[in-house]
Amino acid sequence: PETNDANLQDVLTPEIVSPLLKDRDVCNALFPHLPDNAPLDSQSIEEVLRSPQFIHSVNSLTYALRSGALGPLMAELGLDTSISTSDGAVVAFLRAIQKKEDDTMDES
Amino acid sequence: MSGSWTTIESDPGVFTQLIKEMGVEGILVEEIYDLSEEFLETLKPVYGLIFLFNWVHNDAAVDMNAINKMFFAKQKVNNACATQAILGILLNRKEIKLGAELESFKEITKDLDPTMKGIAIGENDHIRKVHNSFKTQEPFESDERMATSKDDVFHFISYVPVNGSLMEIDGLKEGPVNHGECTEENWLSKVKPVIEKRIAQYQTSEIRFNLMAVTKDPLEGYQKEMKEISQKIHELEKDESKIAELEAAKMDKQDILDKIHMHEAKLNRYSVENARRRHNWFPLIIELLKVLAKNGKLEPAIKESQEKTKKRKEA
Repeated sequence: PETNDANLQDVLTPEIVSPLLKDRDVCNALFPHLPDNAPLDSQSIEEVLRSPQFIHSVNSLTYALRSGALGPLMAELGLDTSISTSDGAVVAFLRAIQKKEDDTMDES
Repeated sequence: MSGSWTTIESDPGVFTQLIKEMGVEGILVEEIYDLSEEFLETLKPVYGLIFLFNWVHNDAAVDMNAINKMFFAKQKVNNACATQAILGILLNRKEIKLGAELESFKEITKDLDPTMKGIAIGENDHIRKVHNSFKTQEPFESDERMATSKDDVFHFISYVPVNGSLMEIDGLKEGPVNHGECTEENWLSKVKPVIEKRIAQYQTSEIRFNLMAVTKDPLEGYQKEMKEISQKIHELEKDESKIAELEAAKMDKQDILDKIHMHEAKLNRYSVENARRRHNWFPLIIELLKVLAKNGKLEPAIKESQEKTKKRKEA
C-alpha cells in the first residue's frame, strides 16, 4: 500500500512553507493555531516548523494515516473519500485536501 | 486503577513544570552533563538526583529497616515511573514546601507499605492529571503505536539523602539501597562514584542514560545577592578612596545580572517547549496543507517526497 507514498515531514518543511509566509493573509490564517503565548509573526511559525514537538506530531499523523486513521480523518474534515489510495495513505490524504481546495475555488 | 497514565518526556523542563503544577514552589530541575565538583557546585543546593536509563538492573541488597522512616514506594504503574522518581525526592526532603495536595498525600500514605504507597500514587487524581497534561490529546496520537518513542522503556532511580544516609530509591526493588552515611554537605561527592560506576557499566553497550538534579530554584538567591551588592555599591560610591573596590563590586553585580538573565532565558525556553508539548498540532497541520494547496505547492511537494522516499528505500 505505501509503495509510492509521501511523508508529511517532507511536505511541511520550512523550505517549502517559508516563502508563503511573506503573504500576510497566510500568516493570519496560521496564527490562531499556534500554541498560547507564541509570538504572532512569521519567525515564530518557522521556529514551530523546526521544533521537535511539531515534527513528532507530523510523524505521528503520517503513521496514523497509514494505520487506519485515513478514513476517519477524511470524514472528519469533509474530504472526498473516493480519492485513490494506490500510492499510499499520505498521498491520498494530501490529494483529497487539494481537491477540496480546488472545489472551493471553483465555487467562488 | 481509577485512571490511565500516559507516557511523558523525560526532560528537565517537563519535570520542573510538573513539580510546580503539583503545588511545590521554588524547585528547578536541571540536566547534568558533567559530574565534576565545579559543575555540581553551581547547582547547589541539590535535593536529589534522578538517574534514568533504558535497562533494568538488579543487584545490591536493600535496607528494609529504612522503609518505615522514609517515603519508599514500589512501582505499580509503568507510565508513572518518572513522576514516581520525582516524588521519591520531594517526599523525602523536609526542606521542601510541598503545598497542600502533596502534604496531604504524604500524610495519608505515611503508614502504608511500599506496595500500597505505589498503588496510592497510581490512584491519586491530582498527580495523575498533572502528569497526563504533558501529553497532547491529538485526534491521532496513540501510546501503543508510538512504542518506538525513546522514553517509553526508561527505568528511573532516585538518589536522596535521608536521615543522614545516602538512599537509592528503585521502585522495582523491595526497599531502598543504603549507600552509607552522608551529610548535606558531602552527599553529592558520595553519590558521584555510585553513579559513575553505573555509567561505566552502560558505556560499553547500547544503553542510553540521563541524569537530572532536583534543585532549589536559584532565583530567590540571586535576588538576595542583587540587593546586597546594590547596597554595597551604594556604600562604596560615597567613598572616593574605594574606586577599585567599587569597580569590582560593579563587575560582581553584572555577573549576578547575567545569571538572572540566563535563568530567565532557561525558564522561558522550558515554558515554550512545554506549550508546544501540550499543543494539539492537528489544526495547524491541516491549515498549512490547505495553504500549500491554495498556492499550488502541494502537488510538487508530494512528488518530491515520493522521490525522496524511493531513494531512502534504495539506500
